[in-house]
Amino acid sequence: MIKWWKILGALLVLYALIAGLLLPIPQLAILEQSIRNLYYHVPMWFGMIFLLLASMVYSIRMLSSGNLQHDIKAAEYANAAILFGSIGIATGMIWAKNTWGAYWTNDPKLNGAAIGMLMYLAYTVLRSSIDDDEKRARVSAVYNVFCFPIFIVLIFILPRLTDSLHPGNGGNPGFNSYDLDSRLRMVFYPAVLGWTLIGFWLADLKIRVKIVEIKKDS
Amino acid sequence: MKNLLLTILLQQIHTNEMADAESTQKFYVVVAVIALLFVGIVGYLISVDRKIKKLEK
Repeated sequence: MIKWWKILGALLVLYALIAGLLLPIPQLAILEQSIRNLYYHVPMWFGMIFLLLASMVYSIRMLSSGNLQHDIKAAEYANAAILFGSIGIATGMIWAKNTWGAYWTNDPKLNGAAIGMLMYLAYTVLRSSIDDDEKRARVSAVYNVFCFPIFIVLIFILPRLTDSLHPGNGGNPGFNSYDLDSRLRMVFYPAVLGWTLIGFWLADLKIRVKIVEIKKDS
Repeated sequence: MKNLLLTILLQQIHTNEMADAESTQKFYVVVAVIALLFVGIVGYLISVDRKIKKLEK
């Protein structure tokens, strides 16, 4: 009945929730127990990026085929991504307050993420401002295709060129170099995959509702 | 006065530590609650998913 990847996503997140609280963690200065946020805060951003990638792919497919169902998919993947991004920013602020000392710092990754969120909020505003279905699909698809590479530059490339508090940016060694040991990986990767699948599930529900609505109208 | 405050403070820390030690075992209760909470939300998602499947037919 329910697609297998949805159940897989639910099981992976369930595992990550439990194992993330119970399994031993490496001893890290300042971070201490809060390193467990790696299992909850970071997957939000990974999930967001995968959803935005899917959104861009469907925007390209919409432009090449003119299929309006692809437009619905692009929009709903972006909406789910915005949800994950908002949760990512909110949870990151709690973590930042307790490790860096402030809810918001001038960290380039934070500002980049904030600009990226505004770009995608503008995408939803753009969509709601055009009444004609065909026109909305085409204009917003072009905008969406431009948004994704800029978002990647903002959160992955620019923070690496300057100093950043985030691991893996500027002169700051990443979790990957030595901190992300096998104990963290064992929960982190399943958490990323699980939350990404949950994000696609949430988007999938809204996509199908929209398609049913359109079929009902016509 | 200072000594009194210090004593109270130390007592406070001591009782907190005691409470921590006693409640470590019950941490699993919280984990179980969080897990059940998520299972409930997934159950809801599944029921919505099935309802949409009916509508699609």
